Amino acid sequence: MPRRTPSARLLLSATVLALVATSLLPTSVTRWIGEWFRGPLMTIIAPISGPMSGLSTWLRPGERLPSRDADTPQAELIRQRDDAELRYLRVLDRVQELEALVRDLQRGVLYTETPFVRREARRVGSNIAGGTMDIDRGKRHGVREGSIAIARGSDQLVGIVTRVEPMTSTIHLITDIRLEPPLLDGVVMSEGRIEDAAALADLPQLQLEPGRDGLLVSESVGVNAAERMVVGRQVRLMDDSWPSTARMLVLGRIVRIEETEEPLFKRVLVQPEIEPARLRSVILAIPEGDDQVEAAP
Amino acid sequence: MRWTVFTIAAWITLGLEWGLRDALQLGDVRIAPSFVFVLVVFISLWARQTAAMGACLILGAVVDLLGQLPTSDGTDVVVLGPHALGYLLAGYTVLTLRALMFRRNIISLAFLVLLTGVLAQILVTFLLGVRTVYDNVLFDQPLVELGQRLGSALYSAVLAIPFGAALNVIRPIFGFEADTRRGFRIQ
Repeated sequence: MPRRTPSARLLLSATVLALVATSLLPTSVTRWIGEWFRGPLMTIIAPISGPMSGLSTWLRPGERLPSRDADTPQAELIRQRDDAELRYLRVLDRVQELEALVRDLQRGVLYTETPFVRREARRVGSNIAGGTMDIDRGKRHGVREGSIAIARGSDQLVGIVTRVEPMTSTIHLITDIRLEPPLLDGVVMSEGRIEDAAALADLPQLQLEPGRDGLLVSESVGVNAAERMVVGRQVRLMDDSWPSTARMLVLGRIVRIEETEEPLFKRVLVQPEIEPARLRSVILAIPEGDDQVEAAP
Repeated sequence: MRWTVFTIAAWITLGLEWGLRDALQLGDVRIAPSFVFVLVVFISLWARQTAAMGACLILGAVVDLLGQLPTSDGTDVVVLGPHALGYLLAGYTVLTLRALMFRRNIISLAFLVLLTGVLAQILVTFLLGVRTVYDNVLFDQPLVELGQRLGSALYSAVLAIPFGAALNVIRPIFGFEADTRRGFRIQ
């Protein structure tokens, strides 16, 4: 009687052909593979990779500054000062935004505002090659694409959620060279207090893009603007292409200002205050909508 | 090979790969060792041919599903195939060479991790590089990407010494045929 089951060799050949096809077919055809299989797989892997990520953070901490999570009175004061500063800068930024809004409304542009909720999420893995990080909060917890990740105990912007699975989500880090959109508009803070919205608008601005060594680089800052920038100054995000929840979050501090071949321009390098890929956990700013959001445990 | 033991070992190794790999990264360069690839070579070194090929395909496919590539529209996509095929090629190479190697020697494992790692990474880079010609997947410059991947293969060979030693200790519970078969004995 002839054999009815296919031989191992035949099965292997068919599998190899199928894998070559899925490797080379365009994303529009193969997108379903990730949507179907990655979620369940991450649900299985996360319980073991989560503790390993914790161990990873312990072995190689990502924070370059003293943690604000410490329970000392000094740390509490620093925390309150930083929170107040962020709120104040956001108010000034909001004044600018409202001034622009008044102009838009006068022209008949529709007004929409997105409220957001905050959720803490633990890192369960990092994809070094892809410049992404996975967290243990997903669709079931109300996370949506476009949510903003902020370092816990800090105002450091970590990245943006680009993929949401049922139990996990993927954050694309701001330091990855393939970040889309690739440019981040930032504003360099001054040493003293910023008095009003006009003073904020007057601060030197720069366009940063992720470099190869974990730094954010601005290749062509005019010499006049560069003269107003000092090493060690903080740079914050002021970019309309990012969700409003990300505005005025910290991008990093200026670590170098270099000469370029063009005498009229300088190169400015900014280092995030915290290494985004090595955080133990992040705070997600999730835009609120119609979806039901479960209470975080 | 006992598939239950393989499944548990694969789960733990994938947890190590996904959670701990970045702690072993070389500075800010994207060079880091692969725990899963060491397991691939270890299984290929000891398991029967069909079991080894199956294990390589499964582990490679899981690595493909875990890893994502960014696209120009700001989303991330899964590309199933490059690592599965790369690991299959690596497994096949180990199966071809294992008769010539001192399998119990940890240096043999490290050497095979390096050799097959280079082959696998060349194939992965080639497949992803070809895809970027017509697809919106964002990929680094192929030579830079290949350099980083070859660096990772070398680093994995270094990792294979301690990690392979640990795998060798628990090898009996995998139930490989070479361990369970009774040798020739003169009475």
